[in-house]
Amino acid sequence: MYLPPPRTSPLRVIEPPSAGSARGGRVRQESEKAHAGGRSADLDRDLSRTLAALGGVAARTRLHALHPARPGDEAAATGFAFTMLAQLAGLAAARQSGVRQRRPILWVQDRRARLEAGLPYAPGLERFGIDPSQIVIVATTNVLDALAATEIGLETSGLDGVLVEMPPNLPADMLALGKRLALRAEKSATPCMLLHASAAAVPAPVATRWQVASRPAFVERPWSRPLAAVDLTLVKNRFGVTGRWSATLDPAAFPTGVPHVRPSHVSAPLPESLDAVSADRPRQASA
Amino acid sequence: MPYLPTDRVKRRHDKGALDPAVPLVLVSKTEGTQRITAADRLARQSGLDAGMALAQARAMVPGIAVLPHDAGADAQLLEAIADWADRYTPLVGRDPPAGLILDITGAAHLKGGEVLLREDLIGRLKRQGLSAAVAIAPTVGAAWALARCRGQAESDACILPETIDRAGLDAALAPLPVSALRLAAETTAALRRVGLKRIGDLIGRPRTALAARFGVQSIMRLDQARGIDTEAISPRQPIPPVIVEQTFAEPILATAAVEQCCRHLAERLEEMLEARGQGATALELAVYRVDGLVKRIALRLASPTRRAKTLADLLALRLDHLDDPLDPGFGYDFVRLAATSVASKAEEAITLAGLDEQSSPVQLAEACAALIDRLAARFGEERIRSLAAVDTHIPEAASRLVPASFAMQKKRIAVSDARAQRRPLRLLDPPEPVDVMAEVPDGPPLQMRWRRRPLRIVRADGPERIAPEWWKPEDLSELRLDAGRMHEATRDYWHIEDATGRRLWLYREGFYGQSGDVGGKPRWFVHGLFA
Repeated sequence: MYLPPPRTSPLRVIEPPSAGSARGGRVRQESEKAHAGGRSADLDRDLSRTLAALGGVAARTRLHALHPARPGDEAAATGFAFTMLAQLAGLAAARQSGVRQRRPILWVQDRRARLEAGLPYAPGLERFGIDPSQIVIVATTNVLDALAATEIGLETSGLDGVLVEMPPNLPADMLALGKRLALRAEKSATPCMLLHASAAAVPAPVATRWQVASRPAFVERPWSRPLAAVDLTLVKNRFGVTGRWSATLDPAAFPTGVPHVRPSHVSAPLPESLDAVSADRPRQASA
Repeated sequence: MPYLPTDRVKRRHDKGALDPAVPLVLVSKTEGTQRITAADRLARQSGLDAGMALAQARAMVPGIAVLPHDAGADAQLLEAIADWADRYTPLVGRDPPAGLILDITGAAHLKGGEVLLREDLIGRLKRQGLSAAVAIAPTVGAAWALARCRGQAESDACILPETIDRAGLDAALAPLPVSALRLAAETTAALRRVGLKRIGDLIGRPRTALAARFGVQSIMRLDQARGIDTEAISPRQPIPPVIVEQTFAEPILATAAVEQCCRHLAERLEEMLEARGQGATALELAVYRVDGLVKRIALRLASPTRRAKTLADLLALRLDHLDDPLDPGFGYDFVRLAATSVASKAEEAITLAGLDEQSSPVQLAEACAALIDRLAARFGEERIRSLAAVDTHIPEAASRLVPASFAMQKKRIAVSDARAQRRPLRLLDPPEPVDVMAEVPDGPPLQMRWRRRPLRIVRADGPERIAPEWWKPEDLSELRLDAGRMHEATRDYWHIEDATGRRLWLYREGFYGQSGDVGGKPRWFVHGLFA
């Protein structure tokens, strides 16, 4: 369910948020308010701030679902997954106010996903600012194995994150299995990215659900620029607002841990979105 | 095991299918005749033996049971028995067609001495329906000779203590026939012909004369039996450096009990490894079923480990996810855990559970190694990989999957920046062919179908021509400097962006309008996806 960005919307470049700059913040909010037709002015739809909120302890340890919008957008989704993982790791480091060593990222790849979207490519990863040897790939042949490998990964603390690429067909009890993953992720404080090829929602208690599409970069030779232009649609967010952003993934900011998804254009907000079952509702869970 | 082939056949047939009172022979066809290749005890007592024609045997003893001989199955059974026999000692050698050599030096006391060990061995084999002739001697040659001549006699007749001196050994060997010397049949016959019938006849003869007349082999075998010359057993498997084992008085049945036992063994293994300052890099767990079946579970570790809990957890994980789960049958009576490969390890691992943001790099590396071990134990080593960039311009070869444990220690290979800038994040394997609708000579297509959807290309950059590495000897020999094949293998890569913003890495095989085209049209492929 890929929604193309509205063509008529004026493209406005928004300054990246700078801490302590109340004025910049206000200008941004006004422009959004005007654009959204006065609706929910208090909503902070800024992508950087949303991501910063996701870097909080509560969200860092959750599941996040990413869906490539169309076939061919898998690489964009992968890039965004890495961006998010690096961002979350960077924020974790910032909280510790120390130098943080890069940790391995577990990449669980199912056979179907491997055929569909290809293998991660080491030179491309280096271009993206990721050390290929940082990645541990587990090649599984069925979805249950993939989930089991994810679970093993999430039981280990000391990873920068777990990225799992699942086949289109999910098991019937995916909700229960997803809940297991969510609990493991919470316990070990390891973020987990679920990449699912089809745009159909993965029935799992995810904290955020994103749809990622490549976006025309409107520049000559876009592939030679390090920044990849993407359209991000936050379909579900347990910790804040939903919305749609056009952004560039900036791999150059990786090593420093500075937030490095740069929002460039803001488009219309989404209607109030669907909620999935969450992992941390004890009353409901026990009922 | 003098009656191994017939014992095997009897084991396989149900009780009553073969009358135990009827002599049994196994035959196979050689040189157009059915010849006996193995005979059981009764048949041998009636004068039948290997090599005899079946017709002759039938004439001698009417009503014998005849079955075809399967030498392959015998070899398999011998292998299985050898596998089982390493409960006595890890050093087991085969002596085909039906013999085993066990080096029990320093191992006999574990079973209560040589006499008890021999009785135990014979008893256990007998319960499996295998008759065995067992002798124990200080040399392989002497044991071989004794086993064949007196193997089924009482213990004192066929056990030569380790402390026996040269004279005593000679005295024990002297009455045995020369056929017990492991010589070729012709040599034995030649010795007999000149009246040298017993080993005693050879001892004391001039060695040069014997060697000149009967070959050096005869002297060598004699010396080996007498302990003058040394002889090594070639073990079936390399001997693990560290072994711990547990015997059960009563067989255990539950897998949980096996796991429990693994934990005890792992603790003892940890002590032993700690004393040696080493960690295990490979483990083998062997569980011995009462009926002789041995199940071996091998485990490889990413880094030297000796922590009992880690090892036991890995073993338990492996036991839980065996392709063919443990079938206890009548239970297990013996479990052995061996570190089949060790490496030095200075200090003990810090516990992995309490890792947090402040953990040291060493702790993190250990946590990662432990994770890789767990994943490898569960899914198999070949499924856990890491990526390495290789400095080559062949797209497929530039990214290589390497064993995860290996990549962690490896240094990064720097890939030239200019190239890395222009490479996709994901590479399709294999490249996906596309239908090109509109094309421009020596340019990228304008319109194409990929994954059954139309794709309109709005921006393109290229070509980047990538030819095979013709300067490498292996590529050179493959291409043989054939210009046509070289052209075929050359690719022109384009970076393209379609109208919706998807960025792909596209290539055309071969030169435009030249060889390699199907029906005159060049073939295009999508090879990679850009973020």
